[in-house]
Amino acid sequence: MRLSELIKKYCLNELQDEKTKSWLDQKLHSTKTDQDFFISFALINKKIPRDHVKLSLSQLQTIELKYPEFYIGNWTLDQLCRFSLLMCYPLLSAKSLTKLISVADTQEQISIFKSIPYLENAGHFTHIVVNGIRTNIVDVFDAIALKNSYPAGYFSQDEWNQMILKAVFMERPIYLVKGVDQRKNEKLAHILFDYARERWAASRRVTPELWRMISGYMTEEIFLEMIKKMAEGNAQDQKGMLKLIQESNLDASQKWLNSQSTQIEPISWDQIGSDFWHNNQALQNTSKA
Amino acid sequence: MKFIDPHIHMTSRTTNDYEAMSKAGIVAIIEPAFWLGQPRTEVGSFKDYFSSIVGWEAFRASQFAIKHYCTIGLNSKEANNESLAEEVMELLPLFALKDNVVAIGEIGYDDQTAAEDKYFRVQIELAKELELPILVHTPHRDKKRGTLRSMDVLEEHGIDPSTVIIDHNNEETVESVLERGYWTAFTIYPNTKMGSERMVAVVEKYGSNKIFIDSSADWGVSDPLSVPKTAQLMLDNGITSEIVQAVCYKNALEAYAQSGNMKESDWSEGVHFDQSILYGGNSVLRGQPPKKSDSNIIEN
Repeated sequence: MRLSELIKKYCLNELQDEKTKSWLDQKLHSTKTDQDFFISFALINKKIPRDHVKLSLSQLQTIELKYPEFYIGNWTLDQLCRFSLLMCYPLLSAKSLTKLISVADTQEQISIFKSIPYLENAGHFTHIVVNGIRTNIVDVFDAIALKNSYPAGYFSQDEWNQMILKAVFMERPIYLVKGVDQRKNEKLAHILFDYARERWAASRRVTPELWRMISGYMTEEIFLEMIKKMAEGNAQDQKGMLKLIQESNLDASQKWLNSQSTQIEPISWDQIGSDFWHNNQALQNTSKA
Repeated sequence: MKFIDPHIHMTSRTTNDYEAMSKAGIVAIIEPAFWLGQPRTEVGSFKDYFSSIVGWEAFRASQFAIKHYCTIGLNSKEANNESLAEEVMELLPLFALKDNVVAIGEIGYDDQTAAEDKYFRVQIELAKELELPILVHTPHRDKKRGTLRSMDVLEEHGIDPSTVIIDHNNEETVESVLERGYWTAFTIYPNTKMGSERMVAVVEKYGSNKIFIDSSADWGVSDPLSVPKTAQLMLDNGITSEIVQAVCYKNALEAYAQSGNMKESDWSEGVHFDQSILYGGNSVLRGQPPKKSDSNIIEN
């Protein structure tokens, strides 16, 4: 069964109230005009509870196994209903979607940005998603940047770099950004290292996840500056820097590694990221804090 | 003591105001759609304004642990630009159904012109259709007549007075508004409208039934702490804390809760963004307490 069919079935099953169920069923199957679609999309807020998804184990397995990238647990019921409305309204043009977003509240924007990668004409909406990244509302930003395959699939290099830099700036968990390793590039590495210098100049720390995107592009200059700062950082900061050095082909980094007396424990970038986001939220503090 | 300011235009206020309001005990606010001090000339300006009060401003408030709601409507001053008003009427249904919208408002009369009357009535019908409460702005000039006329028109349209808030009352209007069963709101302004001392006298005379107060703070000289300050003055004058709580919190909640979009649990456990709604096993945070309040201010 296609993802949109699975989700539609799930939403209709989940609704206890017969009146609400038949309302949604009708809107999913017979929406003919943009205005009608906009109103239904807005009415979800009144009609559908903002609950966690409550899936039985078999439902969960079906959806998770078949569509792991969908992160079914990351959606609420009202968001899934909005997803279904978007998937079932084939007339949705880039122009209509632009209008829908321009009148959307925070919840609606989140649903739209999470749904866009699954629309058949997803490629038509790049400028809308790129504009979405300009938001200052964290939840809207997260809906695009985290656990969403759209940016890696459709953003140009500059658009991608802007999103990553903003994610680092907003202190978002980078290990949840899809395609973060595949879309690394030299330009981004330099932008991020400049950002690290700025933070250091203000006696601030940088996320250890930053080094993940510099891996493969480290220069001797970067290495020497970073090594100096490494001693000042705490163990978490050092983990990212050490991993970067390990992955580097520079003579200088190999020499430095050989000179170390203790063995460096192997650790993945995802682990570094998740450890950091679970244990540390105080990047604002100075490196000595 | 916790407070609700059920009428305040935060788009015109600074983060210092938010901080002070939060410290003073304000936990929830309502931002009625209003004019911006000068008339708008394009429908797009309305769209972006509505969009900011259903999204961005609510996010801004949440950073200070304040739950933000709004009302959607075309104010009476700008109703006088009829061709623009027509376009705004088409926009209203798109915004009035949003998550944090608790009424159609503020609508009513300014100069009591024919155009004002026309769009007042159109919006009363919209509120009826969407089953939303109505917030009525009563005029500065010729207030008493304007207030009576507003109530007459509402009743002509078959509106139940208990779903309507009549705002900016004074000693001249309070009696008839209460008598006819409307929520009776008072704006506490430093210079015009009601002062805190006069408000104390009103509560002493009429009690707390169906009465509540707000600051209507906006881009003019006004005080976003009017509600907590007036509450203190009432307490200092021997009014019971139960009455003060009704006038500064409970009644406004009861009136606007009729929208279905406002409830105490929205703020009693702390004000959350969506991050924390998903929190609890599934969210991107996975075990990390959601960031909120001042730790989540974005540097840019």
